[in-house]
Amino acid sequence: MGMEIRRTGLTPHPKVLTPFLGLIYLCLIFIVTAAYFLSVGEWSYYFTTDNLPGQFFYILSKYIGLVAIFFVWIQLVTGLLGDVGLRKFGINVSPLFHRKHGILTLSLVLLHIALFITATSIRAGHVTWHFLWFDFDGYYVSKISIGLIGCMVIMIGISVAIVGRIKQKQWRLAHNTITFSFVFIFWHALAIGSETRGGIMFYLIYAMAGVILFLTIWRLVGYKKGVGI
Amino acid sequence: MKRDFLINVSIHHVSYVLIISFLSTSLWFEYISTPLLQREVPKISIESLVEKVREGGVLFIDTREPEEFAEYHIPGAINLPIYRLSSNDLVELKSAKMVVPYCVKDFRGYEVAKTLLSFGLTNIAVMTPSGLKGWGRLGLPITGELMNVKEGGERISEAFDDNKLPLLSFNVR
Repeated sequence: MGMEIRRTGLTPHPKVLTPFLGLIYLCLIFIVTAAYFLSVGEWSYYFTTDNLPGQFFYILSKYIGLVAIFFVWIQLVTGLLGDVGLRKFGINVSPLFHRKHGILTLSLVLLHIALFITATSIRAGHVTWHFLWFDFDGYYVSKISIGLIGCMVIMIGISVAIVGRIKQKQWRLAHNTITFSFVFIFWHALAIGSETRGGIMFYLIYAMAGVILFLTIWRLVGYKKGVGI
Repeated sequence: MKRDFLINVSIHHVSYVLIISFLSTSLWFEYISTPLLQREVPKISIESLVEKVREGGVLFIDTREPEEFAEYHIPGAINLPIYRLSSNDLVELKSAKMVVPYCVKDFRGYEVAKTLLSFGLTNIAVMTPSGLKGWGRLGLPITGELMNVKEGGERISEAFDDNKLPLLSFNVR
């Protein structure tokens, strides 16, 4: 069928995804982008009007945050399914793809934070470093801190993967704790995100959470049975 | 597994999908789905706003989360986060002489103002300096559970004690 299978050299599996996974990407990005623009409106407005300082960085931060949630979800789903699970769906994701996608996901999360800090710094007239430290005094800042914890869990998980190379079981188990980042990131998104609670996004976010929960349980059951992880 | 249906997709293709989806959706909303909003959100200095508050008819919309609203807010404000905003709110909002959406530094307040402007509301403005920070910095009253422990709390309390701002002059809730 004219299929080209490229081998990475790092994995015995072909570096391929199915059209099915591509379709999931396309649909989710379209929904996320549509939900965002329905809420925010046209970007040109921020370049053609005299709006408040830093406003565009703020709305850009919101978009990157929404895309980051979706990337975190894809990363966790493919990670939780693993080779065995993915093959059941006819999907092959190489470890190299998993690594690159993970780095891309972390980059999006960090970009979301950087844009938010930039926006608030421009508005405040000084660098708002305090958002980069944990503060649980007050609803809004505490939910920002919860997002920050999610980011740190991802960073620790990726660091473990780089240091440990996931060759040994204990390193893999330590890397798998990255799944908990989902709890903090979704909590952060549902507590203070504007677009995550309106229209189809509301149901989508909960469906995504349900899938992660189901796969986590499925993986834990598999672990107890001696298969999976 | 039907490998015949597999296609070769790398991380680059994910990026292409992301970019194409973003561009197509943003262009759709930019030029096709909704008319471009041409009007700027009017700004009003807090000093001028206080005069209007004294005259009555100013409606403050607190655009933050209900939990944040409970912590502290401008007296008389209503709580209306952006995700709960709909054109059904227009009837009540049109009856006010001036509608002032706000949040802590008016990131969310500005977005609500912009949305209301796109709904056709004209009696709208955001305050400068922005949001509750600007309002509190001038020693104007803020009420709520955490009022006394927030920044500017002492000055805010003084404003209450000295009756610098007659709170009961809020005619519209």
